[in-house]
Amino acid sequence: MIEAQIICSNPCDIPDLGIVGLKRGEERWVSIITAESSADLRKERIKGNVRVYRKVRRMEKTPKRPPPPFVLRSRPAVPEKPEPKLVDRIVEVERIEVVRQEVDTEELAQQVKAKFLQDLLPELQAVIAEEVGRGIAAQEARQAVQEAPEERPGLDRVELESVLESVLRRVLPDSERAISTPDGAEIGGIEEPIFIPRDVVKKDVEAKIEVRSKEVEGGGELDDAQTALRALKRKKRDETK
Amino acid sequence: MTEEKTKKSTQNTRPGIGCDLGTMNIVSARRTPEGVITNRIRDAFLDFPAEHRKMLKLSNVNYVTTDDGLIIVGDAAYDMANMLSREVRRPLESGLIAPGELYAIEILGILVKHVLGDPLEKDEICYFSLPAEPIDARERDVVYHRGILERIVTECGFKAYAGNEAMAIIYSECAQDGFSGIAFSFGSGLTNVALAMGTIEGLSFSISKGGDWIDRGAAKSVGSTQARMCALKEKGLNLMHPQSRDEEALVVYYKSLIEYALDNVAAEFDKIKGKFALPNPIPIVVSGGTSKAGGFLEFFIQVFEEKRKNFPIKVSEIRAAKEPLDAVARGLLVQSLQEYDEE
Repeated sequence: MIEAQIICSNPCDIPDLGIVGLKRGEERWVSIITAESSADLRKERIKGNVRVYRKVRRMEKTPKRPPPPFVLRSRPAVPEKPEPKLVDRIVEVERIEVVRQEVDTEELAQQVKAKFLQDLLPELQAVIAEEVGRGIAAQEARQAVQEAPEERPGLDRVELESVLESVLRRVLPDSERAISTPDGAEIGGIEEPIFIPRDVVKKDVEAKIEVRSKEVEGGGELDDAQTALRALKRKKRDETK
Repeated sequence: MTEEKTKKSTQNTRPGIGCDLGTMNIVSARRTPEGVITNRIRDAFLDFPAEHRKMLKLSNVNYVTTDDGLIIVGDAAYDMANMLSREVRRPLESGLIAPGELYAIEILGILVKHVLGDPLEKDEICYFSLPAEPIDARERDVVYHRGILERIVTECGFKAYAGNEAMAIIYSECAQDGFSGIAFSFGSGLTNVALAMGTIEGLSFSISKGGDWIDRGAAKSVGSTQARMCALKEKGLNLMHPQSRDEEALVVYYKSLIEYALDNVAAEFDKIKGKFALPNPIPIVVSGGTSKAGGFLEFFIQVFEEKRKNFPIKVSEIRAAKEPLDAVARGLLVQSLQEYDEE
């Protein structure tokens, strides 16, 4: 509802409205009709003691009373988590199933084994056959020379070891593994290859480079070192003779 | 006139060259009729984008052009890095080929080519320096480093031979001692040590600490850059009289490095004690760029005296190499010339 808001600028009275001792800043609300019919209000407004506005009066909420001090209150209850709805739970279960899609290691191992056998076994067999054949041929040749027909051609332990060794070398060329003899002595590891690039010194590069040169006159010390070194080497050579 | 003189000099120059390929400097040494000539270049570079190409070319610095810019090489790289508060890039890192450095091998190749110059004859013998395996960083592989250096020297037209860095100091500085002594090459990336008795190498190893380690550690402790600490060191630091907080930090790291090197000599010598006899006291020779700091010899002696009592080798004297930057190259030159003597 629109009412008349009277705001006091200077202390004054509006007797026909029954307002006495109005202080600066104070406000009063009256109906529009009452305000328009008040002669005293008009006078005071002309004097500039009050201002009058037409406004909808806002009803102020009564402030919450503060809780009385020193009153024991129960512990605030922790709100319980709302139970997930059935639909949510189903979604969660489905998600877990997707994440836990496990690899069948047994099957994978079988697959790798099959692939290994398929790819490497024929080659391995061929290499073994070739090496064994070579060993037998060598044995036969030796026997032919020694004229010992009663001995059955075959491979002795040492030859078999050497055959297996060469098979390993051919099948595992990149291995660093050292092959050892039965008594534990190392025959020698297979060296790790090192890649050294070619054409390291570029010839067609645009460059301007000046080096700091220094010439030391004489060089006697260098000659002395050379002479001493020559003498030392000669002495050592003579001693070894 | 100058060309004529150079030509004449080249004509009388004996074949054989030594080349010290260090983390900080690349130095070559050659015997001429007048004396010994050394060429040196700082083993460092700094890259700039293509738009700076024109300006940098005009500034009379050493450069190499690449597809995507310009690379300043040598001393200018250091100066510019200081000016721009950037860290300089190195073809070698801690004494060995920098594995992650994109242009390392290419830049090294170009620098070596210019330091060596053209060979006097086909397959002229060139001894190049090779650090010993670092005992405190076994994972660092010298084999690849050696392979690359051999390839570079060979592609420059020389017949490449590798020579141990610290042993080269024995060859250049210990002739009067019958090539016996302990040589310390305090380099930038590594500190190389060799113990020899009459040219026979009894012990040789390297430790993965050197000048860079000093600069890095001191820079970290005072909140500066490595390049700035290096410049401070080279401007005239006196280890016996540090003048500022930065210099004091450098002194702390110098002391630590010397102690570490001496302790390792003692430990390594213990391993060969029964196998290598030293009948007489032998000298210690200190060399390398890191030993160029003012008062280094005095400082080294001071640190050594604290350890002398427990040091397993009898030391006759401690002296500095006459030319700390050239000593290794000169020693390699001796070995190179020796090859021609034997032919």
